[in-house]
Amino acid sequence: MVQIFTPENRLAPILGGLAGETPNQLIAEADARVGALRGVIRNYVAKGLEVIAGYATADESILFAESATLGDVARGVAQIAGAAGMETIGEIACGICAMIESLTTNGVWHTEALRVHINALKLVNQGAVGRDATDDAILRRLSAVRAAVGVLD
Amino acid sequence: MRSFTGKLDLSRSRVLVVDDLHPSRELMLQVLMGFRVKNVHACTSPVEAREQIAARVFDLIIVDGEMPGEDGISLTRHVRAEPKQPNFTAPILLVSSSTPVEKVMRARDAGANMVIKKPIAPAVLLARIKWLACNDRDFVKTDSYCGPDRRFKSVPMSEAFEERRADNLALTASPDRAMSQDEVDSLFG
Repeated sequence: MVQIFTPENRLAPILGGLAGETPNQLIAEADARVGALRGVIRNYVAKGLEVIAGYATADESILFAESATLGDVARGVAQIAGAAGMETIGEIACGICAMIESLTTNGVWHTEALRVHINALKLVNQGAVGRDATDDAILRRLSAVRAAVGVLD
Repeated sequence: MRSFTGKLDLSRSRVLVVDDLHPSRELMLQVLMGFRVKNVHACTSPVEAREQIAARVFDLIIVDGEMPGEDGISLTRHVRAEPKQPNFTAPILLVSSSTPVEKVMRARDAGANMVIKKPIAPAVLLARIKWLACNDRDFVKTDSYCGPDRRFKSVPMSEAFEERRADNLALTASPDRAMSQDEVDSLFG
């Protein structure tokens, strides 16, 4: 049986409240709070990158055996790096997550492609904060590498 | 759709945040505090969240799509599977660092209202909350699906805009491609 109904919109009362703030004021306040967390985020990302970099020279057997750990650390970096102006690092970490996830969901594993991502992360981490044309080129190439080995982003 | 031009008062909203990763959860909590939300419950796992969802009423549920073990899509399905629970129809925002078409479709089919790409940008999150507040979206309950109506309304487009159906078809034809926030939104009607 199909039922279609309109549920109570519990968020509707937030609109037009006299005691509220304008959207721009709320966004500015939230942005300021996110800005205050940048130091914490950068420290967290730096620790994550150190762990990931440790796998750059690891044997294939170690990479394979510890892929879940590597994936968890990369996931942490991917979820927050962009909030501290490290968008490219976040995107590459996201690519590592996709490669690890591909192993569990589709059985796709490619050690060299994973190493390329880890080394790219090290390289980008040495550069300035932000995203430029070189970063875009790196991200495009890494995406092409993943596609070539059958990893779905 | 309700019209809106002025202020927003989120101070009395009851929000549940489910995210296993501490810095990511903290980021979300700070953004919500910036929006003046005073009543936020944070959970570190779907197991903990299930208890809160059964016990309290929430105006908004924000859930991470990538938790180990049970992920946010599975938790969304759980919320939509219990008509007698107080949050059966509560709006659910799924947040995820990766947004391939396949994942966005799974989130939508599980009953999520929207998907937002991580890391959260305050302007994007507030715009989506405002959209949820402005729109009284129908809810559909069938044997195979419970959640917001996934059908697009066939409203003729203004002559000033080009037809976007071809764009939408092209998007969904490539399930292996990551989507931008605008593209994700377009799949939610």
